[in-house]
Amino acid sequence: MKDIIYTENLTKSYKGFHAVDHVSLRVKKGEIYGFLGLNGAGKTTTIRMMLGMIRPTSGTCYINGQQVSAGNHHVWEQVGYMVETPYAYPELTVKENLDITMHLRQLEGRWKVARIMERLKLTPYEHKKAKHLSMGNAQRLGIAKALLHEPGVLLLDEPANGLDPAGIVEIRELLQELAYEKGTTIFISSHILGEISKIATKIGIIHEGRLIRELRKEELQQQQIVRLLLKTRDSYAAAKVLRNDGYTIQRDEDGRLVTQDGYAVKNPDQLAKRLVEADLPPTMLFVEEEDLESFFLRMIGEKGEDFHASTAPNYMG
Amino acid sequence: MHQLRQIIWVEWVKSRKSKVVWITFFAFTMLPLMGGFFMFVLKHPEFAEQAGLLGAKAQLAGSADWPSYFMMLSQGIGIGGLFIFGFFTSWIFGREYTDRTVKDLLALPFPRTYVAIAKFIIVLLWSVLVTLWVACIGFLIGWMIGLPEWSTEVLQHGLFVLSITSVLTILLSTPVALFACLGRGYLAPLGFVIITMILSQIIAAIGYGSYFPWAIPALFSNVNGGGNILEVASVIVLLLTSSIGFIGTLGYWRYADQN
Repeated sequence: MKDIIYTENLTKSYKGFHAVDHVSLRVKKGEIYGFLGLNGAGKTTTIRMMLGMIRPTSGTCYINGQQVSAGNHHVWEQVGYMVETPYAYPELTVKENLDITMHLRQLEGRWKVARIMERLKLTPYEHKKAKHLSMGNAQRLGIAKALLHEPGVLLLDEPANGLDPAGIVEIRELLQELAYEKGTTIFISSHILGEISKIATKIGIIHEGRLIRELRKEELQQQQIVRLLLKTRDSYAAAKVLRNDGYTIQRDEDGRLVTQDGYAVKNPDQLAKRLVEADLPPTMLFVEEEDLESFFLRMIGEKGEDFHASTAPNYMG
Repeated sequence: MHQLRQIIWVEWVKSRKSKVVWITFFAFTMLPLMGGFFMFVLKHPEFAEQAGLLGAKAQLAGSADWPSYFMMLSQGIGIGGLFIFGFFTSWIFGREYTDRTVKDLLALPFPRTYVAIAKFIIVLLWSVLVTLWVACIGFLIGWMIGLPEWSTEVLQHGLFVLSITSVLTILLSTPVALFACLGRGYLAPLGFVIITMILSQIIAAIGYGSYFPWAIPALFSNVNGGGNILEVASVIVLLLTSSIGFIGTLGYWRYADQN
């Protein structure tokens, strides 16, 4: 499938400091690309280079096959974007702000403004001045401006910021609908890892300006660590039994037995049965899946394997 | 061209909805009001005697007639216009940075320089509108006071000086726009406007005002009593300054990194 967004060794340096360091990524049509990174990792600088707002020190970016540059304005016909916190003209109403975007993009049909307000639940606020909007509604207005011309490519920087949980779900569903039904290519930068894991079909991790990992959602699932934790009244004896059966067992700092053995993780009931037979019934049996946050931290090498528990099934209390 | 018209419309709506622009606009109404008041004081010596110091200040305006009144309005535009037109420019360019809306104007399907051109056109429009407003209020007040020496020649000359002074002052708005871009807001250009106003007074006082762009409109309006003279060198210096501001602003919008 065609690469809609394509960067090649995109680099931005400020006085020797590499804010973005040789970032090469590809986003195909209809993909939702989650761009993850800590604050200052280079996410916004990368997006600004993709939008031609900052000239790369070296490297290039292409969108829809056209090279991005400040002078090539034709590339923006099919691009909608929202960079960092969205701001609107404070003394203009929601509708007037969207009317302005209509004119700037030379769009026909005033119904488009009504439709996007309806879609983003902004209709009740259409006559409210932007300066009086809540943070969540200001965010919705920013997204509405990005979507008004129904772009084929969307570049969104932290789109879930300021939204309440219901708003986050709405925007997620909206973006998924755009990607899956209309083939919109979406590039989202975020630090809300849980949100990215729910929406992205491909994930790129940027750290200290470098794209340290790029993987598809399926690959992420394969590479996430899954481990089995168990407790018995006699951990030493239980570990001995399981080791004799060929499992690799370790003890963590809480005295729990831990294994990443593939068979054990997939068949915790078999281990429970074996321990019961050995008169060492488990008092706790738990399959723990690494969440995206932990995976991310592991990738950037800041937090080893000390990952948080996910909502994986808890077999025994 | 159609695209540029759309952007001009957008800039017009933004400025029309802005309180700052309207406050600035009406603040300049003070010019014909003050001028008219001085004329009234000069025309009524008994009032001047009661007013004491005020009467003495009013003497600076010359005599109570239409030529003096026109000259006072032109001088007001030559000096006050630097601030008022500069304020329009500072706001129209600088607010995009202060309100952080500039990023929404950078990746659109038209050349970025169109935005700067549209903004300059809107600055020009507001500057012309406020000049017309001042002139109209001036006529009304002058007529209400009943100033003498009205004639077609006086009107033509008065309007000619007023128009040229306004054009010269408006041309000096372009460097203000450049400062708004470089300073990324409206405070830096306002500071620039104030500094140029102070320097123009000092440089004109030491006799080099003809070569200092920001002193030229006021000198042309006969602020030093030397007549409505515009030297070629002054025109060149002023146009050069204006061109640097215009091209610099367009260049900034086209080439500068927008962090």
